[in-house]
Amino acid sequence: MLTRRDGEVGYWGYTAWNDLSVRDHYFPGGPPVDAGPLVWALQKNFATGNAAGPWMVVEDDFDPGDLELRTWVNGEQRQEGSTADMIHSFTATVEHLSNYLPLASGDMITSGTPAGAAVEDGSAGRYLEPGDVVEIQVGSGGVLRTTVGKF
Amino acid sequence: MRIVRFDNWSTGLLLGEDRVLDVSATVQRPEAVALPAVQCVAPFFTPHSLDWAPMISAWPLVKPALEQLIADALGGDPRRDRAGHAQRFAAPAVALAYPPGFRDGGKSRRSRGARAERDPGHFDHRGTDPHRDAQGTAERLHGHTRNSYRSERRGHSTTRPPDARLRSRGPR
Repeated sequence: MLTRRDGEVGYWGYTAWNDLSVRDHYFPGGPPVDAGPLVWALQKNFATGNAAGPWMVVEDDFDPGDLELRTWVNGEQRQEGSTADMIHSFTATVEHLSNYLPLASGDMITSGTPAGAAVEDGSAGRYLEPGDVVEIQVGSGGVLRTTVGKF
Repeated sequence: MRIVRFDNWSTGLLLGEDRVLDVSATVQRPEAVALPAVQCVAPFFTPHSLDWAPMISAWPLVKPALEQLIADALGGDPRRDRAGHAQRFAAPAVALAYPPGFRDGGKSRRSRGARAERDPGHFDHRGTDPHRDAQGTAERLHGHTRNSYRSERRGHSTTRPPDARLRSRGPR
């Protein structure tokens, strides 16, 4: 999460963010998200498709480019990475975005995800199912725990 | 310092691992409104101030006051802890759900695959090759899913989240 004072953009705090995706339409017979240009937007933006927390860690001197990230599904570790491995750092992202929009205090930037997502294995991937429990921890933050359900 | 939203958008300060000081409620307590620290933060925590942006923008002013509230609450001296009473806190488990039409009981992945095997061309909503296999799917998605980190996949383990090792160093 960003802060902006005296025209300067800085980092105020960080937290975990669980960004779910609908992948069903990649499989034969899977229902379409959208047959047109919204296919990418809608599979990433749906009700309850994002969760953040469980709290914001606010430190004066934390380095957004050096935060550990881990993900577990039903207790099994699926991802382990560091923001140091990001191709485009948070600082580069802030600089780039600042060319197009004014960034303000309270704005949040999310990083994407390290290796280990189910979609990397195509239709053989171990996708989430109702009842699965996803746990994410970033840096010294708490464990963001989400349970996959059904409407 | 660890700041949390809870109970219908209240803002709280974590105290240790399982207690939280409800700042939004504290600034409304008659016995607390005269405290300098409460007076400092009160404008940012009215019942209608859902947005953290004003607080963040005024952080050099707000931070010492919040630290004072934390210190008073952790001090355990009821004569000093007029600001608020800490309450039990447990991080909520967030329930996610797929939108209608997805993951419904009658269309499991297996059943959809079986139908596709019987009629491989029955569904081609994007006008692409309906016979795409796992490898093709992975290749098509490769650029999207692997473009934010340089790291390669590492070995899986069965360890639980290392709460103790990565636990916060506490209020700062």
